[in-house]
This record gives sequence, structure tokens and C-alpha cells, in this order.
Amino acid sequence: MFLLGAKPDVPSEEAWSWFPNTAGWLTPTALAMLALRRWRSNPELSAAVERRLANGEAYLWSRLCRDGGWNHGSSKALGYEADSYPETTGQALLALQGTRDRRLEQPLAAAERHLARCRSAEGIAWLQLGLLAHGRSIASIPAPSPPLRTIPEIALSLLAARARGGDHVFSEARRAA
Amino acid sequence: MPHEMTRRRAILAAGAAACAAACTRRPAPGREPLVSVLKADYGDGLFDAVRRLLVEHKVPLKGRRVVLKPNLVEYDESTAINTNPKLVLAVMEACRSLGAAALTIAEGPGHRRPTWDLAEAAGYFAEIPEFEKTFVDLNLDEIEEVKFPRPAPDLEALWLPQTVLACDLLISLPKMKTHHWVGATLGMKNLFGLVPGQVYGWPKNILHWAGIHECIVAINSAFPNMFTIVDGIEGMEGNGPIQGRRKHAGVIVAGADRVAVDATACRVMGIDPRRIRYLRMAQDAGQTEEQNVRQIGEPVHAVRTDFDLIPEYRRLRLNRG
Repeated sequence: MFLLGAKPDVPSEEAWSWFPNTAGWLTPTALAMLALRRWRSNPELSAAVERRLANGEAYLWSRLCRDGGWNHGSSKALGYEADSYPETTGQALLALQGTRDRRLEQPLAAAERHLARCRSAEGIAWLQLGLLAHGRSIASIPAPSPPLRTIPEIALSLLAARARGGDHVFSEARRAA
Repeated sequence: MPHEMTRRRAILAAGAAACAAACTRRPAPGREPLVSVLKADYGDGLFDAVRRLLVEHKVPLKGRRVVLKPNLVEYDESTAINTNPKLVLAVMEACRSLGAAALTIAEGPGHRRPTWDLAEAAGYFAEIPEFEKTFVDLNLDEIEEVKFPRPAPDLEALWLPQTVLACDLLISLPKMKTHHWVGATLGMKNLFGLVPGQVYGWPKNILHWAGIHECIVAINSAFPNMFTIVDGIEGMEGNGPIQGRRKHAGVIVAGADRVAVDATACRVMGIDPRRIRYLRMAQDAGQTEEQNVRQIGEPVHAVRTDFDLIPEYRRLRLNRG
């Protein structure tokens, strides 16, 4: 209910913020969308959930960077184009799972480019989750450097490994089952 | 509540007026803040140069717990975003040689969560022995709420990291860069990296909503014991602090008076510090005026290297005297 009630701080951009009374940003928006998808099948909430998911999707597309991926949510600063990051590109793709949009080709290609050269454990894990959520196969996974060191990194890497094995932990089909 | 807000704002306005009055003050003769400008490179002489600097400024290090706060933001090999790890290592070793009891490198990047990966990409693991044992990610540190001695009108307190609150001396190690929101980012703006992402997010957007200049002054007021060493060996010009171009200036600028150091670094960059709002707000003894600073080492005119400014900030250009 909290996520449904989250108010947009900038009226035209209905996204979720990190902190109350500040602007919406990519990571909290992507994570809120993942959480809301769990409530899609609830008849009492589904209309509100669909509306907020649509808000989230619109926000993500509005923040696409020139290179096809996403950064923290600022594709332009003072009019200057900014580039995307691996981890946020993966998060946004995961949040957009199940959507059918021709525009997805661009961020999927950006994610594959990021994955080919990414050394960050967190980035590699999010990119895999994002690509796998859209049915992309992953030929090889780069070794992270430095190696896994934090609990979130380890947890994300385990989730990515499960997704590679066909267990898509964030998919709606799996939740319904 | 409206009454309270009005009263509070009136008090803050009075404070601002007092600050404005302070701007016109000058330091007592012989009490001008000391700022060093040294020609330097990232070679073998850096440790000796930094050690001499710390001795010359009588920085209290013996037995002290010291936190080194570099500027670590993003990594792009084509430009110079982050404080060079060779300088961080030189400062760490110099502090150790002068008797510092404990040394920690600490930073909380503002845009990206994987701090360790940024540090790896920026060369910190390769350059600094046992970096992993020395470094604290301030975005995820233990925190404590701090009310600012000089609050911003819309920000009276923030949660801040224990590692830095508990130290005896904070050494700010910024990169010399232009900045597309405030003109120049140096030792004072570098303290934005102390604000924990675990509370305020990536980016730490509350600081923008409450006013960047006001927040720079407020956060600095919470850390009175600070020494600044600006990495101006290679800086960034143009659309800083991330997307600008590498700029070789070949200097280190340092001192205990953070406003005087940043103002001097601005002059080295060809930026008029009197036109940087947070410096005007923070000064208490006219430090943005060159005559109010006792500068040693290289004279500014000998090392001045005009950093390219984006059109929005060309009005900051320092006239050649």
C-alpha cells in the first residue's frame, strides 16, 4: 500500500524517490515496480497497481540515456547528455520484464555491451537478471574484480545464477505458480 | 507552524546578514590564513612534498585518528574524475610518518552504489597497499544525526557517518574540477561525499533540494577540524565534475582554512572565488580576497592555468590583473 501511495515529487514524472520530498530516481522506481508486480493478481489492487506500473514504465523510458542504457536517473544534466551504468541498466530491464516494446532492443543491446566489459560484481549480476528477464541468453559471464565481498553482491550473484539455470526468481509466472 | 517558520526564517536571515557583514571583515595583520601552492606530479617526490607541507602547516597528527576523504565519483579512463590514488597514498604515508595513530580512507560516492568497484576501477586497490583494510564506504557506515552549527534554511540536520564524526582530523582530498551546478568543486564541496546514501540515496538529492551552496556551508560547519589538500596535478575542465576534460595544472593547493584553500585553488583555475556563492557565504574573514590570504610556495600568477568553463559559467572567469 505504501508503494501505491507514493506521491510523485515532480508532477510530470511519477517515479519513486530515495528520500521523502525529493525527486524520483531510477533504482527506487525499478525496485518499486518489481514489488508492485507481486500485487497484479489481487483484484482489489490491480487497477491501482497497473496505473503505478505504467507510471514507472513511462519514467524509465523518459530517462533512457543516449547510449541506450540507464544511469541513476539523470540522462541529461544542464542540457548535457550523460552515459548509462551497468547496474542501473540491469535494474531497469528487470523492472520492464513482461513489457512488449520495440524500444527494448536498444537497452538490451546496451546491457550486452556493458556485460562484455563490466568488472563490477553488482553490475554483472543486475545485467544478467535484466537480460534473462527478456529471454536473452548469456554466453559468458565476466569475472568480477574485486571479487564478491558484500552480502548484497553475493545475494544478487546467487539470484543471477538461479536465473541462468532457468529459475527466474522475479518473474510473475513463477510467483503465480 | 507558520509562525514558527517565520520566526525561524527571520533568525536565519539575521544570521545571513551577520555572515554578509563578516565577509567584509579582514583577518588581523599577521593572522591571515596560510595556503600553500606547490608544483607537483604523481612521481616519486610526492611523499616528500606532502610531508613537508604537513610539517610547514604544523598539522596536528601525532597520536591522532585521521580520515582521508578523497573524491571518488565515477570512473572514465578518458578523463580525470577522481582524486589520484598516488596522492592519497602519499598523504597516508606522510601522516603515518608524522605519528598519526590511525588512518582511514573513506568516501561515499553520490551516483553509484558499488563503491568498491569504483575504487578498483580508479586504481585504489592497485596503488594503495591493503586498501581493503583501510577503506570505509561512508554510504553504508554507522550513522548519527547531527544538527548543523550553521544550518541551511531548509536543512537543519543530517544523518552522518560515525567514522568521520569520531575522527580527530579530517583531511579533504578533492580533485580540482569545474562543476556544472556550483562553478568549482574543491575541498568544501568534497564533503558531500560524507552524506550516507543508505539514508538519502544515490544521488543524495536532498542536498540539491535544500540548496547546494547552503548545504555545502552547513555540512562543513559540522567538521571544524579539517585540512585540505587539493589534487590539482591533473584536474577537470569544462562540464565537470564528471563529463569534463582532463586538465593538467601541475599543482597541489593546501591549508587548514578551507575557504582560503578553495579560493586560492579557484584563482589557479582562473575562476574568481568572489563569484562562487558558497565561498562568499562561508567566509568569515574575507578569504575570497587574495590580499587576505598568506600564500606560500608558487605565486598564483606563475601557476595559473585557466580551466575551460561551460557557457553558463563564463561569468566566473577571473580577470587577469
